[in-house]
Amino acid sequence: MTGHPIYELPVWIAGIFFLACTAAIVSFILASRIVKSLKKKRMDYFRNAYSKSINNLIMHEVYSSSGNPPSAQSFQIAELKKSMNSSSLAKQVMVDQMITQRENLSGASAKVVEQVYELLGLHHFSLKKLSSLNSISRAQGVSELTKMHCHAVIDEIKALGEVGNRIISDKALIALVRLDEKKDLFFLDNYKGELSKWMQLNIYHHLRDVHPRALPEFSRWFNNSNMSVGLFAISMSGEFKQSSAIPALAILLRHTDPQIVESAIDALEQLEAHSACEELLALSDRLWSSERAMAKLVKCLGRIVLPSDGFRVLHLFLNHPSYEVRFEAVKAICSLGPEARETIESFDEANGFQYSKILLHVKDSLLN
Amino acid sequence: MRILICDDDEMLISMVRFKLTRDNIGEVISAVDGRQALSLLQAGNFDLVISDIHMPFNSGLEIISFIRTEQRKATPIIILSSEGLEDTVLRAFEIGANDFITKPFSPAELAIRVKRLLSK
Repeated sequence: MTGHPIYELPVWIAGIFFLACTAAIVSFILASRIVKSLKKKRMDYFRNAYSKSINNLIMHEVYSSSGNPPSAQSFQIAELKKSMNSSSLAKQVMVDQMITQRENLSGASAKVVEQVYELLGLHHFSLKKLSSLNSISRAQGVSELTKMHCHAVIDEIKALGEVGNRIISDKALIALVRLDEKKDLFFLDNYKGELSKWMQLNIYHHLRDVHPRALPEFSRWFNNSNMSVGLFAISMSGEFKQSSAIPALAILLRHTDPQIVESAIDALEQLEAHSACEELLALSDRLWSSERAMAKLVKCLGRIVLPSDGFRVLHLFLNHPSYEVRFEAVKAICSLGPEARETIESFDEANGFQYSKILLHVKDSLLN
Repeated sequence: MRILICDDDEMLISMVRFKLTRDNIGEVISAVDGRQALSLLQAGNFDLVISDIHMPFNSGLEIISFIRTEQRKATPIIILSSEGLEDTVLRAFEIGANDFITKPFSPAELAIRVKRLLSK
């Protein structure tokens, strides 16, 4: 009993401490939720306030028959500047809205959004982020300036292309691709690192918006010492239907690296390169043991072969040990028209109906 | 004229609404997802529909299909989408779209196309 108070005191202290901690955590959560909801309210307020002004500025500038007098535009810009004052939240909301508008617009109206962005001095706001210590903020700055086509900052972005942080340097390179007016993908010539899937996707996404005539000849990188660059160039030549690359792609079919060969087959398929049919057919012996490559080859041949010649070319693959290759061959033959379908059905009958299941699979619209 | 615009991008809706209203083309009613668009289509008549392809709940293609197959209406439909893939464009036209505009787009061009379709 004598020891009881000694034990009781720490329990009370622990209890009070626990309660204090709980209260502190609960108040912290409540406070952060209040701050968050206030921030959201302010953002919604700014969004509503700016949305109409931006639309007004863009549409009047471009489409009004009389146009806004310069003084009216200057007044609107000054009013917007005043309303943003020095609030970085307001500026951020404005930048986000302008970027959304810029991404939706093309032509003269897109140019006006860019002009308004600069007139409001928001490029300085984005530019400031490039020197931030926070890498997310730096990446955001690069992204904003790129999306608003701010060509004046190319040098600042170039400098970021050499920083150690991979995310920032990749972002900077993509930004340079987007801002480069010649669209010649100059940086690929000397690119030493692995061209990541993320970068490839971004470059592709950007190139999709470029006029086909302005695209570079991708065949110039087919034999680049950097294999990831070579593979990317091969796939882009197919994606953008550069038929001038067909002879170079046909040569790549003799390459020792299976990845390059498979990539070239894919590109030739996309290009529907009938002229490369014999070179592709000659590959079958070499690739016979590779199931994936053979399936690609058969798929490609099915796309480029003439219907009259289809069965002769494709029936060779009906004996392949892999189901996938046989399936692709049957599918390709069936796609050549009713005559070819009849031929494969007769062939199936003559061979003890060993292709019936594949034929059923091919004909099932839900499976294809 | 009553024009229905279906897009999950509210900024785009506000811009199109602004442009079409300013050019006195018609009253613009908006839906921010496919489900809302379908219920608006069921509830009232529209002279023209502008729709995105990718939206929550129901896609733009489903909206075309609903108008053409279920409602059996010839309401002009313009697809306004960032997806310009050949297959998607062909599919949209196949099931009954009247026009296809790829984002980014010019609001002036959209307004002219809307006017042209409404005058037919």
